[in-house]
Amino acid sequence: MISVENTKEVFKETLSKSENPTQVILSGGKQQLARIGKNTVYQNMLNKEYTLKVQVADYKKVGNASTNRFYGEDVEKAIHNATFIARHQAQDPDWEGFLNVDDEIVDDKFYCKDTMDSCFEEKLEELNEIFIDAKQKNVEIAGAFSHGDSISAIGNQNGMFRYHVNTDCDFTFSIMTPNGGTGWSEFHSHRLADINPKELYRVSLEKALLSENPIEIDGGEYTVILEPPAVQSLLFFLGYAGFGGLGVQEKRSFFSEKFGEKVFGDNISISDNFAFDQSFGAPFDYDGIRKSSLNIMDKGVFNTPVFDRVTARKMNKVDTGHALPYPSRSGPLPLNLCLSGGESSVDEMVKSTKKGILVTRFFYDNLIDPGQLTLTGMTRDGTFLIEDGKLVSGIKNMRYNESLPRIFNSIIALSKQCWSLRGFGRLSVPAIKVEGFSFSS
Amino acid sequence: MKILLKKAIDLALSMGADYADIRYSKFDSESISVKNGQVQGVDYHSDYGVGIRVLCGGAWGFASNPDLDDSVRMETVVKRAVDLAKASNKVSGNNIELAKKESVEDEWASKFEVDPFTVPLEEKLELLMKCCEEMSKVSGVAITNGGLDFIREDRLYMDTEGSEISQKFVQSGGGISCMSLLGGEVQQRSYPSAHRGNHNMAGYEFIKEMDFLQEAPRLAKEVVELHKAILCPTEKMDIILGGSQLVLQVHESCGHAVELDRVLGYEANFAGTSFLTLDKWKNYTYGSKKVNLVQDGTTTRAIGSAKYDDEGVACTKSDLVKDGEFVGYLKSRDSAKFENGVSNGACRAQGWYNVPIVRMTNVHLLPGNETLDELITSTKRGIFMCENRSWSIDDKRWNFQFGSELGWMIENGKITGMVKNPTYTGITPEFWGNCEGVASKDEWKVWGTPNCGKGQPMQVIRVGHGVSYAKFKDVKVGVSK
Repeated sequence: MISVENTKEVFKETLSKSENPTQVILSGGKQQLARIGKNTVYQNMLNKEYTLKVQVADYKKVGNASTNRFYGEDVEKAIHNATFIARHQAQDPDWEGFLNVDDEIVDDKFYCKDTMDSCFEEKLEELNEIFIDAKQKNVEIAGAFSHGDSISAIGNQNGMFRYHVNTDCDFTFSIMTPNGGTGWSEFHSHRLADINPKELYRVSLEKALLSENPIEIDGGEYTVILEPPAVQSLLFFLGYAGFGGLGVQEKRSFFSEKFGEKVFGDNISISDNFAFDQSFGAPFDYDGIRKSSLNIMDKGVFNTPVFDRVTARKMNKVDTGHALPYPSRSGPLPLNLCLSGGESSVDEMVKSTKKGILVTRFFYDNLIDPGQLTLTGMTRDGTFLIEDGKLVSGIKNMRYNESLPRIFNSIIALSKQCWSLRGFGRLSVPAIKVEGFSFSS
Repeated sequence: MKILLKKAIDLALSMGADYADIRYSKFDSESISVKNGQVQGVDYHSDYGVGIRVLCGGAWGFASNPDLDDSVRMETVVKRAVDLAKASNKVSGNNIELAKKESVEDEWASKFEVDPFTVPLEEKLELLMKCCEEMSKVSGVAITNGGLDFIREDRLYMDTEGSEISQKFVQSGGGISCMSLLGGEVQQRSYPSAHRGNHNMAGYEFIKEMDFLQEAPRLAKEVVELHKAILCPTEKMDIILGGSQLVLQVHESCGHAVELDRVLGYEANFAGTSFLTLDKWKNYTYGSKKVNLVQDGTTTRAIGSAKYDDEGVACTKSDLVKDGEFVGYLKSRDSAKFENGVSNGACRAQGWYNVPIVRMTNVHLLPGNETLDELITSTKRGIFMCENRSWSIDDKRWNFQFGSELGWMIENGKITGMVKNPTYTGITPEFWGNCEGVASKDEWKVWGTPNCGKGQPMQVIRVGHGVSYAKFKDVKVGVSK
């Protein structure tokens, strides 16, 4: 980890060398990652990579240059390059200038020192028993087990200093059986001690064995129960293609003309909240603006997309603190979306289903029509047929073609429990039950 | 630097490694974006560092660091790699064996005419701004974009088997696009392909060859006309895929499917596996006899080319699918137990900070004998699809669905009108089995895909594909809801 003091020192040194208004962004981290394949740890690696980005402004002309060094001639070269770019390029009329505040935010809410001090090899040894059991059961494990830290810090000559650091431990298992069964599980925490490989193995194995000898069923509309990783895919695209302020401002977004309109079901409330448990979110954006929880969708009514300073000004709205590093082609985006849970559970959803499909997760989802928020993708690693309230068989993977507005208007149950999963940043999602979900094959 | 790297791999041997290789990379990039005639951003990036990979008792360990410039740091990094390998070995009982390769001392550099980093920034911006201006002249165009990307990389590779290889790369690429919005309908046209254009292992001359300015008015006209076009019908019909769409079809349904690490299950957790399982090798019909696919890491100008891969293995050209029959995989040294038991030079890493894994270099669909005109005139009812808009394929590379920015309806051998939101779906071997024709070498060209992702952590590398046009019969189109 690069400490607050060292970061300040790097910033002070860098900023002192630039004659123009300048901002610096430090990002990166250290990660140790073991990849598992065929019941072995087949790659075991340590990566350390940081980037120092220098942004130099010459009135409304801005140049960016980055290096993976913090001192010496590489930093001087980055300042020189950024200055050269700024001088030789055209003006950006939308440039808002570097944030003119003289304060600091230091955030280490999701940093766990014990995690970084832990012996990763000891944790790996826990896998031995799992591998032996997998071999005895004639199943094959693939996966990844990582821990590390991640930093993002911003500083400028006006005295603004922002620093966020978190630790991040991820464990994911896929299990394949000789008879076509597959199962998957994933867990992350900023505390290595929270990771329980045996529990993840149990979950994956249960799914893999239950999905063996999958049957093929026809496409069509089904009642589906989407477990949180599948919901994560949907919420990710909703945020990426729908809730960005630039898309709304440019009228490319489905929500462009829908401020205050009821667009989704009464049971849908969505916020962006950097502070939810295991969000790993920073309390500031890449302009240095302080964040707070933002109510994007309230009981199906669309309140607001996320804004940065430029899009907020152009739409006469308040900046919500969602700028990405300048220059950002996508504009501001929500990094910590939360879909509020309901009162149900996956078990209850299954029990109440006469005929339907349970989906563990989707794969390779993509937008077909960004304006209408239509998506396609495949199910993966545990897709099950439900009959009379029970999982009766694994089914072969299916392709869906659906529109997000249709899905979010057809949700009839949400689980009380929510899970934190990877998105752009991290998302918090419940399991959901959807009526009339359309599979094309 | 060579002395330093040699010290590091020798140190690894002294710490108990059976084998070590080390890569130093210095990487520079320039990225320029213009939107609606205004500069959206200009970004220079530079990084350098080393990654050392060691094999101890049949297990890998890898550690990277921005530098090894003092003996204490070098020892720490090398020791970390060795410790990781030993830890892997304790828990896993790995038994990795490396296929043999020739040890070489060599130097190589890609060819270019104009160093893109010497071209004035003003000239690059002016080109993109003029393109935006041209596109915005057409009424109905709402958003215009242009981008240019340049990279150069110096790589030094050494291993304990005696190889010492220095390689230099220069690549250039870019593209333009425009959008039109009407009543919630979003249409886009791109040139020469979507997703930030085309990329070659070449200098700035490649940017000039693409002649964005010439194509800008056509794009603008087409994007506005798309709103009035008929919606893609839902039925089975013939399709012809244009170059940049065919690139993605080859990439997703062939290139990834023949990566041997996927086939063996090592990528099952994230990237997935493959339907081309070992039992199908030399025993499976992948496509029609018109389908000939090769991996070729030696193709001039293709961005996956090099003289050697990141294991020091010479890049090669070999068949993947020959006359429709599946015959070959992409292989690394630790997976090469098939065919002649050696790697075909397809093990690559993104930067110095990642471990090399099996990757595409360049995967080509070899040209056939037809012309594009012949493919069209032989079509009773079909759609000619150009420039990718959406893509999705399952984890076995079996079930896919793609969408294009624009389609041209073909009826009785003639193009009769524009089709909007064209999509198609299929099952890989059925789709390629229905390949009725591939256009000739006169229409074959090399494309660059600069953003191929795979691995944990995700590694994004640059891949080349050579294609012309291809026709497929009885394809399900109009599948989106």
